[in-house]
Amino acid sequence: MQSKSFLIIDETGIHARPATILVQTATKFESDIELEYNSKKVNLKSIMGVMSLGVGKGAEVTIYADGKDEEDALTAISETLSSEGLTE
Amino acid sequence: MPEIITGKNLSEGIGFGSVIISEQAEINISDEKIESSQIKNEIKSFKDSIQKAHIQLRKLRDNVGEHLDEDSAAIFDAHIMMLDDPGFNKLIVEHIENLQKAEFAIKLAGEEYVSQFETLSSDYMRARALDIKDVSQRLIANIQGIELTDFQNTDEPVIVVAEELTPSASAQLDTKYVNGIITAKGGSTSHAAIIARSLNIPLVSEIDNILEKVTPGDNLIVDGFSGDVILQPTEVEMAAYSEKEKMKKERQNELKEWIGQETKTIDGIKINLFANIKGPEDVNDFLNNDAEGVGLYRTEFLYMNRMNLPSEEEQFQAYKTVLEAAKDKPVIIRTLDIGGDKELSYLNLPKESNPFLGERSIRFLLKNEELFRTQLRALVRASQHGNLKVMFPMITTLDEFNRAKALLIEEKERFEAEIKEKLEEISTGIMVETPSAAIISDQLAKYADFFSIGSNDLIQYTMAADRLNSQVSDLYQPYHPSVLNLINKVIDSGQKNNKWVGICGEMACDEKSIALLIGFGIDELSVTSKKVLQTRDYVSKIKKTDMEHLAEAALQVDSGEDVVYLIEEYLNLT
Repeated sequence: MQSKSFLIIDETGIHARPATILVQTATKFESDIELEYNSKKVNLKSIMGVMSLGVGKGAEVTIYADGKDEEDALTAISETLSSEGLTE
Repeated sequence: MPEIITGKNLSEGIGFGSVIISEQAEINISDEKIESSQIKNEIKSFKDSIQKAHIQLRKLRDNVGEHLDEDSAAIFDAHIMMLDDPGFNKLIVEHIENLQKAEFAIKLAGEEYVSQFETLSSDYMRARALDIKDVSQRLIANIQGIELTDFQNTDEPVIVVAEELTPSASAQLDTKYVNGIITAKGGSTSHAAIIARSLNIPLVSEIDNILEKVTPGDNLIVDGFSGDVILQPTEVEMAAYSEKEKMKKERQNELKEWIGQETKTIDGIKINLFANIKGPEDVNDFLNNDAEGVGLYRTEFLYMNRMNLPSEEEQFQAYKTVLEAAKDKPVIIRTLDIGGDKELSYLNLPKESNPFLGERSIRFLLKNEELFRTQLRALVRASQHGNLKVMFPMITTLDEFNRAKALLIEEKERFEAEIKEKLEEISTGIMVETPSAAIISDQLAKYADFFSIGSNDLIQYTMAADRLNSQVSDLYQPYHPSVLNLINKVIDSGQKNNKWVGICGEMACDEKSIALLIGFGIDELSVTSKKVLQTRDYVSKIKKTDMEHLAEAALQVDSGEDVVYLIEEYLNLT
């Protein structure tokens, strides 16, 4: 299992567009991937789970990946977070 | 008799038409249990409804993408993804296996998700709850073979009335026939408001029980300028509002002529016309309305609605974005102004019995040096990207200003040492909002580079009347001679010391007080972006020398009422 923390800097937090792209990215991997915010964990392959957290600006989130491709998954997710302007 | 109800105006314009109700399709869903032999069938009809929804949403998405922006279209990408959500699907199937009908299983699952939301108090979470409701309803309607919303079938002008408009319903609004929207719920950042504004459909919201007040087919008028809804209008109102719509449109076109022009009085005195902003999100408004600078950037919004303090980098990015967008126009950034009516819950500050007279604003910053330095460092770094001026709020003594300025200089020198480069001087000013600062303004003007009068607080402190307490609202008098004498004093002190003086409270937006302020000799007005062109137009119609006589007379009369009377007289004469 691997994990990595991020600070969300986008004005509106994880809103519709980036949430969609994040879930799309996560779905490509076999590993179990979870998103933790405010000590609540959800499946990053579930858009409704991600939305239910209400991750806003200034939030610190942690991504956990567990499985064969966990390392690639974390790299891809970090890239998506940054290319969507969610993190620095 | 026509009846007028007033709500919140979220999208401008005036619309006429007959009411069509957008049902939140509280379709009858029976909670009757099924037999276990039916489970397979129910799961199949649930899966079929998903297939159908996929096709519907793709069509909707492409349609929306064509005439709205990609951000609106992205709402439907999210909806499409919700159809395949593993958790949502699993939950629904589990409910069906527990002998619920498919429709009821979908409803339950949707409600369970919404109930997990930490809070429904933010616009963000309310919008997400509406997304889930929207998708659930689509699936349920598909199972029951019902058309959800269908504004397409109308061929006469309509006003859509709804408790709350789902994204799906908003996206289907046909501008050819939908002339207005009224909803009971929905903030200015709701999907419905965003879409209505981009389609130029007037929208009035926050009218409770609107569905009980209208019946389908009623004629009514929606005034998206004022937020008024006119029920059962007669010919008289119809004519009056058509005229209003025509005039508003003409006026808007007329005002556009002012873009790119200088702000000058009849006798050629130039006034700097700036705008107030809350952050990078207001930059477009500011640019489109051709403001000549930012007169007040309220940085507290960077700190609010979140769980922790913004980092230096985050602040730097926000300030830089604004400075770069403003090009070389001056941008006055006010350091954090909290306390009073603005709290930051995550700082857990002790409750004060008299917060407006307590440790707010600069008092708080000077006691929390680390937090203050973080902001100052971000400002110093951002100063390389435009014409930055820093303003300290709530100054009451010269010492406070000098200490704040010294910290700024320290951070600047530290940063210069890091980058081994000298930065340009950052001009520093005082927000004059306490009687003390106004009274010693002559002394302060020797040290500060500029003043900006914060009229809202200056009035409340001068009149000793809490501006949020309705019991004493009669004492909150912008035109009271005491307030005017202080404003005059501040402008005078500025002039004597060759420092410019601006104003950034509500007084800067009011035509009567603008006349008076120009008479006192104000150099800069900072208004909301939307009022820039209108103010430029207004200033061009007044003569400074006349206003000087008015200002002189206003200082002599006995009461605020007399001042207002005097201003009206003057404005009518000239």
